[in-house]
Amino acid sequence: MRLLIGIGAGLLALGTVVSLHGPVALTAPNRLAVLSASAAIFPDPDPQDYSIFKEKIPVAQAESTLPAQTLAVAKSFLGTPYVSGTLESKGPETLTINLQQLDCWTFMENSLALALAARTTAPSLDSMQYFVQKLRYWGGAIDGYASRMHYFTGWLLQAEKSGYLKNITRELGGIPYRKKSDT
Amino acid sequence: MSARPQKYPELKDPAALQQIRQVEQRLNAHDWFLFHRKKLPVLNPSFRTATSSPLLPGKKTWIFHTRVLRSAKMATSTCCTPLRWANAY
Repeated sequence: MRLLIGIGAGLLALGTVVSLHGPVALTAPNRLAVLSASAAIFPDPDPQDYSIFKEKIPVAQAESTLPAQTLAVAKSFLGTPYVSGTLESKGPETLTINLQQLDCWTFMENSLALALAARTTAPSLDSMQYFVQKLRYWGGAIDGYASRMHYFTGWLLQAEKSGYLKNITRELGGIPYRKKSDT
Repeated sequence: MSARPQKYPELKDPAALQQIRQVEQRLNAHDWFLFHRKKLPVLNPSFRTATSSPLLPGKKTWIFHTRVLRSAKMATSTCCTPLRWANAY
């Protein structure tokens, strides 16, 4: 299997600097309410990423459903440089948010996370980071390199299990695919 | 990945390599489905909303690209796995 995300340049140099934030208050009038997170530690945001985040929230909020919000955010990313490997860094695995450079995977992931964050009562970068972490890591827990999903099929399974999307291939008559994920 | 650990510096760690192997086993145990692109025009009505987005695997690779899809006309790769964002939110 070939990885969707390659190893390359363009990583956001967040290093190991972290800041302690209070509980992420996601008090939405729907099932997002159950996501009220316990204390979370997220890296300090890059000012440029924070600026982009603030631009995207109203874009998502202009729509009403999660699909439409995700698509609206995705369209607003048109023109963003395509850069692979932005999640690869030396040292301990940390949550990387880079809205200035995207590859196809981070494009989709960030679009969805921004849409989800926009649906919270008080959208914040913390809430977006929370959703990115929940989407990007097995069980939403950062615990080393292997805790990050390196196969998009894994991302699919977890996102579907979380109720964010549904793989409709089979119900539309898709054919079985037997290729193994080990290369 | 586990078949070519030398390509991934992080997999020098035996524990990480083992974890990746376990992930691969889980994914391989799952039933996956896809469409050949010739069928996409037939499926077009199903895709013609903002709620679908596909993966586009090729013949030799599993997944090499994913995108948010607005229309099946955008799907030009060999195969695809359409997804529908949940409307429950």
